[in-house]
Amino acid sequence: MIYIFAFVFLISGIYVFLRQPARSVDRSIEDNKASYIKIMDKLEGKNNEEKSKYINLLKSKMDNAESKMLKAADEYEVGAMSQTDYVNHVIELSDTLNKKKVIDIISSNQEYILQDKSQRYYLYQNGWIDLFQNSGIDIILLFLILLSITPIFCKEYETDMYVINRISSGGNRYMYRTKIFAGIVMAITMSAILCVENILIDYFRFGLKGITYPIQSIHIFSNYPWRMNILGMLILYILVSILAAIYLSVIIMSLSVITKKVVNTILITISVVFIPLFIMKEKVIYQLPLPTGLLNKQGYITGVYNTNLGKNDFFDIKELMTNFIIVTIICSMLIILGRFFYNYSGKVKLFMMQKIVVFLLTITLIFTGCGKKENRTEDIFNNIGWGNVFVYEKDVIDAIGDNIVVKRDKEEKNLIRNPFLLKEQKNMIVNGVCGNVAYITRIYETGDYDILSIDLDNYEEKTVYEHHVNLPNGYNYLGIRKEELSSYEIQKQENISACFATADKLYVLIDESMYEIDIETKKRCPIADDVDSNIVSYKDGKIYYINKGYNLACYTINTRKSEVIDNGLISYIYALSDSLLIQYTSKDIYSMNYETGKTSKICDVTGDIMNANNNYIYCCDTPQKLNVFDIKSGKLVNAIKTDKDICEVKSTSDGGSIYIVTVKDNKFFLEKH
Amino acid sequence: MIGAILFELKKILQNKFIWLLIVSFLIIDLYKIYDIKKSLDYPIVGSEKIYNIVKGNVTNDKAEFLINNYDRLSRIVEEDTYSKEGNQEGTYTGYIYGDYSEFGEYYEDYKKIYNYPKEMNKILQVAQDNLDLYKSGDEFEIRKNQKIISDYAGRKIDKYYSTDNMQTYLEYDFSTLLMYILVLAGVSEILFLEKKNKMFFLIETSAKGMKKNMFSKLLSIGIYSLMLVLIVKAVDILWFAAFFDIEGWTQPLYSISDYMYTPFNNSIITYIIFDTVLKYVGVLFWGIVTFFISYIFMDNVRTMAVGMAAFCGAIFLCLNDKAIINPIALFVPTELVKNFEVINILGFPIYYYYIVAILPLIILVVISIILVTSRKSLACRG
Repeated sequence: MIYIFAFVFLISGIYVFLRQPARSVDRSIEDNKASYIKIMDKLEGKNNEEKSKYINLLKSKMDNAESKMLKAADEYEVGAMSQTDYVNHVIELSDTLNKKKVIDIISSNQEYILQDKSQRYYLYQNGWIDLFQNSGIDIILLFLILLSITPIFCKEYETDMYVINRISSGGNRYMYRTKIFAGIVMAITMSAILCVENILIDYFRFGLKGITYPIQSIHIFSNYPWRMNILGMLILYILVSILAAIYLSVIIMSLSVITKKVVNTILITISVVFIPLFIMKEKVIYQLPLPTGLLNKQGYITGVYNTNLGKNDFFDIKELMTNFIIVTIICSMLIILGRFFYNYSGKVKLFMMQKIVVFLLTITLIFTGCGKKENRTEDIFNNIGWGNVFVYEKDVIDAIGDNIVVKRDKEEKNLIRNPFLLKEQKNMIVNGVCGNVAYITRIYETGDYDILSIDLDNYEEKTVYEHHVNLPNGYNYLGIRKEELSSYEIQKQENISACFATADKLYVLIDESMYEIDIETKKRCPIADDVDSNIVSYKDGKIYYINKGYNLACYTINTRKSEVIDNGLISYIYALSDSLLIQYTSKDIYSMNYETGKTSKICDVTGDIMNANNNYIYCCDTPQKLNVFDIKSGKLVNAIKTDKDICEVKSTSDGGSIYIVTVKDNKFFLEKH
Repeated sequence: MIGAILFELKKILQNKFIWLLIVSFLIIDLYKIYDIKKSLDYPIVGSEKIYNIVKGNVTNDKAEFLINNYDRLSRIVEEDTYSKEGNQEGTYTGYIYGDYSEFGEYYEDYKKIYNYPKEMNKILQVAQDNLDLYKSGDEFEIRKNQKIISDYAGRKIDKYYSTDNMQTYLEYDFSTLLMYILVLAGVSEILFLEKKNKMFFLIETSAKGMKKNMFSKLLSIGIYSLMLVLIVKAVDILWFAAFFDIEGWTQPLYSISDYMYTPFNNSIITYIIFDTVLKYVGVLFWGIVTFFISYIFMDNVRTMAVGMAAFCGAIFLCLNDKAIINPIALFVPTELVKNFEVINILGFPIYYYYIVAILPLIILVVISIILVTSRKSLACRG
């Protein structure tokens, strides 16, 4: 036994030693490691005044050296300095100038830390990055477990030893559980060996300091929404590795007992592990309790990249625990199923088929349950951009997780009900509410999206428009092709924001262009390509928007013409029932009569308009204070203070209810006032 | 002899697990192709009307039709005086801008067809200049440039078909991976079954001995691999034909814009046959290598371990460009024929794809000779 583990240690050690460092490892630090470490030794830990001063001193030294160097070069060029003096000058300054790259890195570290001083410490991160982000399936663990666990049962079947075991009382009673236990212990040991080797190699190659620092100190976790230190993440890393090993070993052993053949067991296991990689989206692999996700543990640790938002989606503890519990249940069921087959040595006949059917049905039920679970509630707000909360008279419509929720009279109702579609989609955005119809964009993992209209009275759902991303020809299943599909997909993503509807047409803002979509034929046609922001308003057949020159422009649907109607620099517009509300970049607020086009001043404020309705204007002059102005008198009538930063304000059309989306510690909250 | 081959083949095909794998993999293949179809954009309604006019033989009338319409629409769009209403009379897509965009695409395609001979002439001119340059020097370079002239001269595209779907089909290689798993499932157990049943004692003492038995085993692997490749290829074509409109089978391969510099001068249908042959060589190579490994180790676990390690190693080498000639490349033949790539063999330029195909065949012949002529007793090892 000791030889087997020594062999495992040796093989996996060589593999770990030879593997390339993770892509996110900062090579420029490695190129200047000695100087970087020297400075970092003084800085490591929480940021304070002294450290800031020290960095500023380094920067000013560098600036001085650079200007001296330039001056010397100029003097040398015009002949005011001799060659010897110039060379001496260069030698004198070279020591400081050689550190330029390091000082640049340190100052970018400082910028990163200053964004959140409490959760980000100075740290040499490369070791941790390499440990947590070395991507790909743990091939060596998979093969070691596969090749060492498969023979545990299969060898006995293939050499007919199981007959002897069966006739002995101990063999029949204890052998199965002993073997299962031995297999699991073996897998755990291998996984632990690999983890230790990974940690040791990174420790010696880069160094793993600051284990008690907050996880956000490592830049790949910059958006990590929960408070955790690096040690916590390390424990999670080891736990996922061990769970992956247990899960894989149980799958292999149960398959061994069922198929009774080495080749079949190995091939089925490989198919189960690898095929999901080719046919499933990355996020789905981690959402489902598959061995693929656990073996490729990176997604559980550093999150799954969300191309729409340009940052990673992280799994919260609740999600992780749910997945781990499901894995444990599946493991137990596989062990029980294996027990049936272990006692049954004949061919799979009708009796066994019934058992298999019952087992498969149970598994299917569990998986169906997994698909339907609401993964995220409040925390999903981390992954949603602005403009996702809409207020429609007494209803509030939120994009929560994979669904759109209507809150009416304290009741919550999911608008999107098809569970099969939920599995594929990535994000939902409420584009707008016109009358009693909400327009919602459902974005899929592929980058495809469709726009749905939902009648808020009877919740009738219609697909108004579908968009499919054109993927390039050629698919890189063997990893041999040179095309980079992901970057292509990123380029192909379209950003959909505002949306209005008439009886037969839909007007959608996609990237910086406004499109008219025929609801019947689904054809789309660009009508304006100079829209600057998603602040677009619709009133009586006219679409008002801010163009790229920050002027107010208006597109008239009937004449199909766009024209600039106000040349002032404008930051916000809102269509009221009788006039258009305009805020100029100077912060002054005016109303413009729709018919005459005349403007009259309402008030001047210090902050930006967050929202407006027919009675009130809502402005923020500080992040935590909302001022409410009366639209007729232009006077301040109310001020709402919150303990969190305000990022969005919505109100009913009469201003009776105000809904404020606030943010604190990267978590979003919806408050009603 | 035929009886022995059929018997060996029967042993492989009687394995229900293989059929289970084949059926499951074909379903996964179907899902994958459907997934590709789903991810592609819907064609613009009305675009097919223009396509139906311009597809087929490239004639002056069709070219004029495209040019006139495209010029007319460009002017209208530039002046920005057109109506943006839908369902307009006299348009194909219902929109002026929609027509402009569609005509623009076909116009570009026609332009490429028109310019293709010019593009080739440029290459030929460079090759001709090279011939003058190497007049009395490097023999290999002279032959290489002569090859370019002979293979790229006189190229033109007479017919126009949209080749996007065809390219998607040609470059679809997921099923090749499934072929490898299937061949591994079939081959790795051939020797082990006889070892388990102690049949080697009987075979080795029979008059014909191990030689013929081994020969029939090798041939059965060949037939099994061929069967796999044909089934998977046929199913691929079937699924693609069901989900995509694929046209232009008889067009030359270079009519696909990504393959315009291919040295392969034949039609797409001929290329598909060639592609099947290359994939067959690839699958057969891994099948025989796995069989050879099982012959060496006579143990299932070690066979699988070494076989998979060899496969992963070959992929690793391919990814890192560490091996010039790699049998894994046979799994993605489109990459082999896309560009003009030759290897200097004794001063003669030989196409890279020939070398990649021939070298595994030579290795296969050597392995087969070793296996058939080996005097080692498998009975004792068994």
